[in-house]
Amino acid sequence: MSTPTPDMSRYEELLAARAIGDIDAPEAQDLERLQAALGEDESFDEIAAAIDLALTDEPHEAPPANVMAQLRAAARSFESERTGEPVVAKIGGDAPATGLGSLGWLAAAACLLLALLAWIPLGSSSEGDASPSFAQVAEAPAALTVGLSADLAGEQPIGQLVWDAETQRGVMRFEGLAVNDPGVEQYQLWIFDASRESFSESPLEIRHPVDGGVFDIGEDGVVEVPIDAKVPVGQPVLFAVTIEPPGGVVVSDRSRIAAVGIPG
Amino acid sequence: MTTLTIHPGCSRNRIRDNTRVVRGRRTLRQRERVSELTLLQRVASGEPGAVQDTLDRYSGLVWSIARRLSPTRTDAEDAVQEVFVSLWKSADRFDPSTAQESTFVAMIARRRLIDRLRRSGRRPDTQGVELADDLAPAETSSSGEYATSDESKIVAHAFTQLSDEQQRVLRLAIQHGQSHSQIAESTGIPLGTVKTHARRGMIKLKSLVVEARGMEMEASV
Repeated sequence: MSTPTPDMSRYEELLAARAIGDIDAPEAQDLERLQAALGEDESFDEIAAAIDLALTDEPHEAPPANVMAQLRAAARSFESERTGEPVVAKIGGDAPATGLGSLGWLAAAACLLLALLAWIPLGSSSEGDASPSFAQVAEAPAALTVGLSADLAGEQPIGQLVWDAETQRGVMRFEGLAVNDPGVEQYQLWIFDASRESFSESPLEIRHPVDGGVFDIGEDGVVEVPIDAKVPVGQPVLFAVTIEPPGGVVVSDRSRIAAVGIPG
Repeated sequence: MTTLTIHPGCSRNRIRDNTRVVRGRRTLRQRERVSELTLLQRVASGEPGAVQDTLDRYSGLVWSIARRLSPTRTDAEDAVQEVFVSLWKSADRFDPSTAQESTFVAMIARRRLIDRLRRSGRRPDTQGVELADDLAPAETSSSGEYATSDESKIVAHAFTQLSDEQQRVLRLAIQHGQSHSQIAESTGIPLGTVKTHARRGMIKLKSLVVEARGMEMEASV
């Protein structure tokens, strides 16, 4: 048997370290360099997984019901995407290709925990239903009007939102929200509903906001976007628009927030 | 000697020790095993319902790993969906002739969870791990389908051939997601020694498993 080259010995050591989850940043860079030269090798990961299975002497408890429900929804979404069926409604207009710039205040929200939410694939209703205008929803007796801002402090106004709890309809109206390229990223609205999940200090503690729909901003100027809540919303306490990959996400990491509105 | 080969059915190169070349001569049982599509192959082929079936079969396994390798239960809840999406996307990389499906699922889960730990800079709570585990070496056990498999026996046997300290360190690292620092603290083994035991132990383990698989293959033909 020949002696491994120094690079190969180092590569094996780093792969072993990766497999047990203890590799530091310089080592990760070194591993990346070696991977580029030598190719990916998952054999240590396989061994670690096999050892994990062999050592673990416990029955596999099923995930909690809410987690299973989210997994089922994610599976439906995954299958729908793969078969080419629409997973989300494109409720904004077609957009020319312009990327979104990063938003400076995102750091404040970036440390928040991930949000999981159930995903309900849309039916065909979005095509046929006439969406109400901002003014029409605003006329509803109990309509809620919320200012939208690009910052949590509300110092960078970017539009308004109206929501009618009775009809479960709403419209966002933006002025100045960056035009997006739907092939690169899309906007997604999340509705933080206190009737579904309680919080102590900040509505952002709510981990499972309601998906309010994926949309695009296709032109400059004033743009109205209907809200497409996937499940009934009882007590909205926060509206947040995130920037996500095309088609939206089931789980948002909330790292890119474009707009936020807190009912007064 | 280690050779770099393109592995059929996989989108990435894998390094295979040449002792595994005997894989080309499969036993009848192995031929039968690969003649039927596995669940992940059904997922990769786009069979309706296969994605949902993975939840029925593997949600318990993934949840079990997520609980052990996540700092909190909340983190575990967030992670399982990420793991499954990754699994579905990686299904075409699964090759039943090289690993059991459950091992592949566990591998995907572990890699995703380890990535999450690295990104967050946090680790699972270590309190009670040392006491809860019987750290006496060599007595490996497991439950379910995997426990009775040839692969499990090979891997478990190889593990018992490591030194006591290597077994102890690897058990804490692999099973409980502990960092080297945590292991050093909980066991009293110097940090540098922990690192050496962990890495050399893994390299030796791989060597033993590769050797055992080669011997098994040669015995079966």
